Amino acid sequence: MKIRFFKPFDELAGNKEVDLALKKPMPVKELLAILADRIPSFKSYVRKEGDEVQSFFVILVRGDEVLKLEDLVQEGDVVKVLPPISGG
Amino acid sequence: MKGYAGKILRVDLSKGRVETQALDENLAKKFIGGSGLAAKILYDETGPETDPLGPGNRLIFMTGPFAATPVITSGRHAVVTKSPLTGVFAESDSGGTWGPFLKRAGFDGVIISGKSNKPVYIWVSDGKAEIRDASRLWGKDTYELDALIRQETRNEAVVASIGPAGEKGVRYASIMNDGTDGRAAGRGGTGAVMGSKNLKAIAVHGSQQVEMANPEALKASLKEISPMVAKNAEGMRKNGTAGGLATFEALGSLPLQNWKYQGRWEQSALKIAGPAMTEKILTGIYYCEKCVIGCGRRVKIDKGPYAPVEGGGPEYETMALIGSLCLVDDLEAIAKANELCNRYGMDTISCGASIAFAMEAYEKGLISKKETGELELLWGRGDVMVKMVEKIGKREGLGQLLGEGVRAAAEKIGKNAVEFSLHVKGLEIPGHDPRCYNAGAVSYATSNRGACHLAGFSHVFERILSMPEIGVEKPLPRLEVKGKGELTAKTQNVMGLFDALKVCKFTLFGGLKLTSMAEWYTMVTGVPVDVTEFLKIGERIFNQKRLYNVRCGISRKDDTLPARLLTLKRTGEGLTPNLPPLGEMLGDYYQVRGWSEEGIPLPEKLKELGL
Repeated sequence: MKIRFFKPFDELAGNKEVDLALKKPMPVKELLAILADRIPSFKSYVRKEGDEVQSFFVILVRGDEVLKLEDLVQEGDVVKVLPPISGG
Repeated sequence: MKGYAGKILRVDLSKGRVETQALDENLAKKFIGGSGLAAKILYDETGPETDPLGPGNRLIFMTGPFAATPVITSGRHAVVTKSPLTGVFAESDSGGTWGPFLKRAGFDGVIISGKSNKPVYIWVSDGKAEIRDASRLWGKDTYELDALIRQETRNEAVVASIGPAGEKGVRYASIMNDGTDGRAAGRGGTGAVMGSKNLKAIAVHGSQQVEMANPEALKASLKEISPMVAKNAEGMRKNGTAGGLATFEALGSLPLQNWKYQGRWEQSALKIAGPAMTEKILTGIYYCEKCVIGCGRRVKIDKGPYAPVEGGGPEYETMALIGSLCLVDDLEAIAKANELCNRYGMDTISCGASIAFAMEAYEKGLISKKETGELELLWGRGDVMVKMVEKIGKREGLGQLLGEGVRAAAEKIGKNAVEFSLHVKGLEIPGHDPRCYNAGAVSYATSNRGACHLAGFSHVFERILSMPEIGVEKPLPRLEVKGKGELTAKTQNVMGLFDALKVCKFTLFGGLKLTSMAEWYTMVTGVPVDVTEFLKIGERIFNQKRLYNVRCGISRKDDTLPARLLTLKRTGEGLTPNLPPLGEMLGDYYQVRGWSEEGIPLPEKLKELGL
């Protein structure tokens, strides 16, 4: 699967896109834990208790769907990491 | 000087006189346009003695050099006046198409003075302006009015108008534009000032071209930058400004129950967040002129208790203030209240805050059922919230009091109502809890119009944005204290530039750099400027607005937050119990600003800025 980082996460990750090989479907919370481990600056966007991700402060989008912690991602998915923006 | 129409329209409504004056190019160089230039005009023409609702006040509409050029997100204008809500400087910013069409009609801005003896509107078209009778239009809401005025002028005209709230002096009445798309100059009561002058609307149209210094270079730069901004703004386009609402709840940033709620509101937040709106009521996306982001929502509800609703949809701030601050998680009730605010012409932030204040007063027994008109003013009651919006818009019953804003309402109610009347300098607090952003707290405390999330926009530099041009290489951790005074001063200077140029701040999320903005300014106007000089202009503008307020008696005593936000901790799973150490950060802020300990700009700073 592909993880695509949008601003400012592309700069924080030092990469616009990351490929992950998944053997089986994985919950979003595990995906976030992997990203937080791999990308130090991503850690502050994920809240963990022990090893388990409890919540996250980015928006994950797959196609038209906004992903939640328990949703499953799998091989072939493209997940975009967008900043949580609100204002106006 | 290129990039400008070169003319300002002056309308004296007491004398029924319309005249054109040349744009002062020296002032345009010093203050650019938008709320920068308008702040200087307001300072020169009004003062502490000016009654905000009297004929002596000015109502200033101002565009910037980018309006009606190809610069992305330049479809914006500023409205500046002395606020009837706060008694100090007010600026309000609106998107849409009204600003560019004013410029195409031949004017950079309009300055209204005096008071008409009967309702009127102004029709500005291709270099000419006339005052027309609006007696039969008085009382119409802004959606109805838009169609009626376009029938009388021309169908392509763009209308900025007030609704019944502005006519009846609701102190946070807005000036709406672009009809049912519901674009708003919302904050600070500009609509009440317009109503006090018996001015119902200003319709504009024109086809004049703006001459630019180097259009080819601008075209090449935009060709490179526009797709980047469009791509990075996908989240905004997809789910609007409320797209991140559920995340904000998890962060502790979403305001709840008049800022006193403890615990989490997770499931309710999901019901009103952007994705829910997209799924349930969205019919289309709205782009202001030259926008590549598309955060505007078009919604429709055609059945159920709140039908019909059709037109502009709620923004994040509306969801937060009309919704979560009142613990209302009914999306359709919020969409209805939003449409009513648009039609009556009212700021959804101050309106929502006033209703939440009333709910707490009712809970504490400080207002009775007799005063609410037998309404059970309970937390979470969407139906009651909608009825209160109507009462405020019409200034009926309790709406009379709540239309004064929370500061005045608390003074009138007395007892301990002041404890839960949350505002800064009289302006109700927008939807980003300053307890979880330390720079956000400084920003709310020091913004010139009162509690404002946009004048500093510093909270986003504590989460996701960086700006190497001002020394912010990466976002500063939000709970850190050190450096937050400096961060706030710097971002306020940058945002002053956005408000003068009239460019949408959401371009920052798209990766737009300050350097590009400075280059565009030179390409459009022909005036060479580098980032250092550009930032100096931003600093000058912020200080100019501060000087207006200082003259009105504002000082350190006013640069604060309500006690609840300084002393009541938020609790809830995963939330920070942080309380912003405002005193310490404010001292740093004044030092960076070159102000005295009392918050007054020092003579050497004013000299440095040419003020």
